[in-house]
Amino acid sequence: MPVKRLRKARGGRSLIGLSLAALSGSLVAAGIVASGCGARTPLDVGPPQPPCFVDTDCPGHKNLCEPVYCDLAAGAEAGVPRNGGLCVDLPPINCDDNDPCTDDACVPKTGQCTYELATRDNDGDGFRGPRPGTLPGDPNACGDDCDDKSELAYPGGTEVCDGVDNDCNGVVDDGATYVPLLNEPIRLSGNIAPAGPGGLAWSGTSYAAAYTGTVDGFSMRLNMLAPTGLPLGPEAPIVFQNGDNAGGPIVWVGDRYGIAWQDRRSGDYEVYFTLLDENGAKVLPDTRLSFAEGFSINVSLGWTGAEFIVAWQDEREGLFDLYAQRLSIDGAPIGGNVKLTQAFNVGNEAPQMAAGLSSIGVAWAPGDALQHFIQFQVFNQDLSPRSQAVSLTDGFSDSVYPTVVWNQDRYVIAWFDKTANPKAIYGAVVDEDGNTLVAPKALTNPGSFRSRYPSLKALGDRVLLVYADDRDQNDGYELYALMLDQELEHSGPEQRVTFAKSDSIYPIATFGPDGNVGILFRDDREGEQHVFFTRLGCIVP
Amino acid sequence: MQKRLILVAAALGLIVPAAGLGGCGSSIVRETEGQGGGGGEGGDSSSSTTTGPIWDAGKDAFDEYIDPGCPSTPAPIEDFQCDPFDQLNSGCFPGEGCFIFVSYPDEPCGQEVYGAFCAPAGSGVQGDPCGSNTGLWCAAGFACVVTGSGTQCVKLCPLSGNDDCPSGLVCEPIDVEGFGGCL
Repeated sequence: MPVKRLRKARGGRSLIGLSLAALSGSLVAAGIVASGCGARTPLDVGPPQPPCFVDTDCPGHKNLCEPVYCDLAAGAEAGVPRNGGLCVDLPPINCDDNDPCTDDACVPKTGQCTYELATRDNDGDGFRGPRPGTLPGDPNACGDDCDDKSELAYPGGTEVCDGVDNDCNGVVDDGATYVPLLNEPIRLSGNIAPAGPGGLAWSGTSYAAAYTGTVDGFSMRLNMLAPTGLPLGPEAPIVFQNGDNAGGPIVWVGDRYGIAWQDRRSGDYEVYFTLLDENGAKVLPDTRLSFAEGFSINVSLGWTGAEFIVAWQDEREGLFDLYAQRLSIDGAPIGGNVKLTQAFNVGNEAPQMAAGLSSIGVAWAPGDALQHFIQFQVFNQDLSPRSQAVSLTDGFSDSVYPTVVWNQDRYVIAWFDKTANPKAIYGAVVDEDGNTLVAPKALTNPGSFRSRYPSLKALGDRVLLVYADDRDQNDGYELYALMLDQELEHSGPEQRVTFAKSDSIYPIATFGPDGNVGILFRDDREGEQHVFFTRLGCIVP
Repeated sequence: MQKRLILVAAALGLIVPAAGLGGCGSSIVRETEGQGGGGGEGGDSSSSTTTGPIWDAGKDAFDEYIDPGCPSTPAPIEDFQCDPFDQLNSGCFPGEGCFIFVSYPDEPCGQEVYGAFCAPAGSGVQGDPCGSNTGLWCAAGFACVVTGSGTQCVKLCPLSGNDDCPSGLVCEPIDVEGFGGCL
């Protein structure tokens, strides 16, 4: 190995380490020799280093971003044998152009700098989204698209009734209300009962409906839907392995879908993720996100504008705790699993999350079979805690299964309570720093009956709530829709969405085309559990 | 998203998760302590692959991935030693109940086994805690499932027709095919 003169700290540490290693070896050898012969201090610290004669003799010469050269003059000065030289490190190439809007990098093979734009235009509308943690249009945001998932939303756009913030004023479909279109719900699931909804997303041209049926165990299906909800083709499996797979929170990010689920292909429930193209075709092998022993289940999926975040409950340490995983837009995990909670006596379960401006809001249910709480905590988008956990219930009633959305500048959390009076949907509002803006309150009034299964859609200055309620005693639950203002007060009449006998439950609402709100839900009207689709329509004031 | 119940192997340590098929009520049955399936993979949680295809932005920039799947998919093996829906005539001894179970393959494309067996009955009924860490087990006609709101006993229910669940509860699929739990 050529002798190398190091100027950099990193190299310096290496050299010291090498010397210590050599010294250590010498001491050990000396100790052996010394036994019985008297100890002597070794004079040499290792074998003589070969000289360099050309630059390519030097370690790391192929990395032109950290250049090194063979200094023959320095070698002669140092008495290097055979007229050799010393390897000398030159200062590394500095590619930082002080432009926050570029990701600067040096290509080791050429030593040339590259300057990639730090923001993306996922939806192809000509406007880039902001850098993570910045507001669209801020000086260092490097992008001003308020919704880079939709090509219909950009600064200067004209607001129409279409479920997006066209003019980037922070409000979706300004002032509009949503009413049932009263079309007969469309059954999506084939002969795979019992089936139930997993996720629904709109790409700009079609809906992607993910749900789980039963075919030799739980098995997820994907169904691409026209704007009316009619299937564009047959439902198709998403997973092609044995073992139960269920879930399907699915998000559209402007040019692709991300989807996550729980999967028992390896003998234990673990969390998986993949990407689908606009037509629903899988474009990435199933990516396993959790590896620890014990169940990893109840998956939630979010999109920050730059990364996917998957959260779930995981019992790798005995009791359930919440874990999360960041993924790049290409589905590559960023870092490892991050533990979000620490269980004390009872587990943390049923996480749901939403991405805020520069944070992630996570709602979940700590508790056991006897006692349940609803908690909420804000995390930075690198998953480090940003606020303390906020308890939204006191544990004296049976509050379960929270959901959460980001609504312009605050999180709205909703859940249902099985034993409180009333047995209603409850909600609260918390800001990005964990401060409660609207204290928990009942959002629905089921009388002596029950409301369950809330689904929220954020509109900026109001929130659309879709839920199930059995007050009509129509042999089970029916779906209802309700608009709430910033204080979570009713800002319009309650709308009944379904009318058939038997349960209509588990609504998942998403904005679709022409101001429609698509709703995926489970309905037992045919005597079996199947997945149906229906719509609300937009009315401009 | 509908919950799915995951079975937790009940009386003999079997826990069945009761994960519903959509939304929030599914249950998952859990098996522990030598009662069949279970047994996750150990490993480093940070060992996830960090590589993946890098795509340019644009809706047409993707190549479809052809999933190899399982070349031959064996159907699950059914092993019913008694009838969980008819506890009075299940064929179990007095003091026993007929409990559902599931055993999962350790390897992808393996074969799942599910069914029912006789075991000493516990005392847990609808909503009661259960599981090996509590030492509490469910009564005949109930299953111990992971619900997302605590591991608890749920009444077994048929997944089609009248589910006979208590008022306000719905029948959620359990990951033992053909069985649901009231939640």
